Amino acid sequence: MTDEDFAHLYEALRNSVYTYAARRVGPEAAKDVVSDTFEVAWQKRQGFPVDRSEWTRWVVGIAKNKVLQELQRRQRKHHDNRFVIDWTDEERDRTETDIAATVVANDSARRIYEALSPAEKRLFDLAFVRDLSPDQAASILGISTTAFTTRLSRLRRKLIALEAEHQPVPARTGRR
Amino acid sequence: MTNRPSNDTAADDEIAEFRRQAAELGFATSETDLEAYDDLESSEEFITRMKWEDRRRTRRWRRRLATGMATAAAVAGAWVVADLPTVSPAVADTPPVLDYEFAAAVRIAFAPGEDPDDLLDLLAESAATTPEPEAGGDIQHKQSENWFFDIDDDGSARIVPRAIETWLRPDGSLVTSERPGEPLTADGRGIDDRPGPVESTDILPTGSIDPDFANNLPDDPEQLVDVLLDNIACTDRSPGPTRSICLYREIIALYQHHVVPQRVAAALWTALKDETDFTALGSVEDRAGRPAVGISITDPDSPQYRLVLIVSPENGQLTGVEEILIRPIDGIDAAPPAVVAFTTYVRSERTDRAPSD
Repeated sequence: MTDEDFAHLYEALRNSVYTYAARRVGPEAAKDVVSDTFEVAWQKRQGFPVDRSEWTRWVVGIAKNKVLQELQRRQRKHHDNRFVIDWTDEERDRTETDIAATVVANDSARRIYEALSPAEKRLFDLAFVRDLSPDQAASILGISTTAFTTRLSRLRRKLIALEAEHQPVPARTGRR
Repeated sequence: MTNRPSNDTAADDEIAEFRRQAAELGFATSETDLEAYDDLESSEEFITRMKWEDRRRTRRWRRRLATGMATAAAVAGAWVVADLPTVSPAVADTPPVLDYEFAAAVRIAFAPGEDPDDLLDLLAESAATTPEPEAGGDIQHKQSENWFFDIDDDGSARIVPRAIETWLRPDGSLVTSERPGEPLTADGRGIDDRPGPVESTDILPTGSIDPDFANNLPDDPEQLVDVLLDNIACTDRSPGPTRSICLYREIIALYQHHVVPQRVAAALWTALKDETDFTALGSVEDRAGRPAVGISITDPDSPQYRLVLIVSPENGQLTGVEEILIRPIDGIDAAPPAVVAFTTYVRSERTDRAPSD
């Protein structure tokens, strides 16, 4: 991989990796995730697949691991070594709900996002990464493409339901 | 690097529909994201940083360049930009970065350059086969245009163009005259050797500089390197970045006041082939509009700068030096890549008269 190739890869994915990471770990930590992700990619650049279409999957896969490491670091810090790490979805959910408030564009979207389960959020965030194919997203999640598609379809239905649920109530124009 | 269509059309349709739906629901890029994008490193900055960290990882530093740098700075006068990070603000517009064959101006911060051996061979051959110009006397006369940081008493920095002429007499005395430099053209060139009203003249007394230093240098590249490293008191003579940067500084110092014999220039470029840290930037039109080539090095102690020797392929003589800021530095209001100092030699000759004679 030449420096020019790497520069193109970096420019193409930098913002997507940031957005993905920001939803999961917050805006400030996301900047570190971007930096850490591409540092690993730089160190491994000579081992990148010959097939360039795989490069995105590699980079997002690294980003996913970096996000996980950050979440685990927070969890360890939170427990301050006094408790056994209990990495429950509830704990993650609590963190991610706080973060979502700062990185989702509008209130309606934020409320919908907050209503998703942690697993749905992980699916959402990965599927939302531009330039990632279903095969690649499925591979990063460690599931089959069929399973990915099924879950995504289910997620879409849930989004529609949540949208209806969070529709603003029309203002009433009653007489006094 | 781009999205690869899945083998499963249904999966492609599903993810496309999901993204469309998410966008409709308001999951667009948020303002916070857009602001954050601006804070992220550019690919140029990132690659430059990675290369520097690669260097740190792979090469061990046994000691710093302090002694060598101090000597070089004392000799080279203005070429002390490595110390600038401590000064404060406000820098005027910087001269345009030159376009090199293997490193366009916009890529100067991270373009790796190429293996310099062929280029150094060409320069050595050119120098060796060019006859010495006819000597018009025994005074070594150099004329150059320079832009460099000037630090005012209040600590503020600015870039100042200066035209400098020196006359090194056989008794080791040195006459230096300065006048304001000429404005550059829009492409960063336009330098010539026209005279102008002198603003100041300084005279260093007899014995200040060895007038025969360049002339007495050996032709043998290894011996030449030994003498130069001795002269700059380089603290590490083993092949590596320290030794390379010592030689870079010493070449600058050598050319500052001396007319360098062709045979010495030939030995210089041959000697650099054995160094580890020089890269070829290829052909360039120098600031006087002459054909030239660039040879680059990065000072490991000041990785914010890319340092470039400009050499004439016609006679193998150094015709200029450029120092380019390639990474931002607190307190210096110049956006990388930015030329923070350059010298372009427009005359290098032996003459029989100095201004005070």
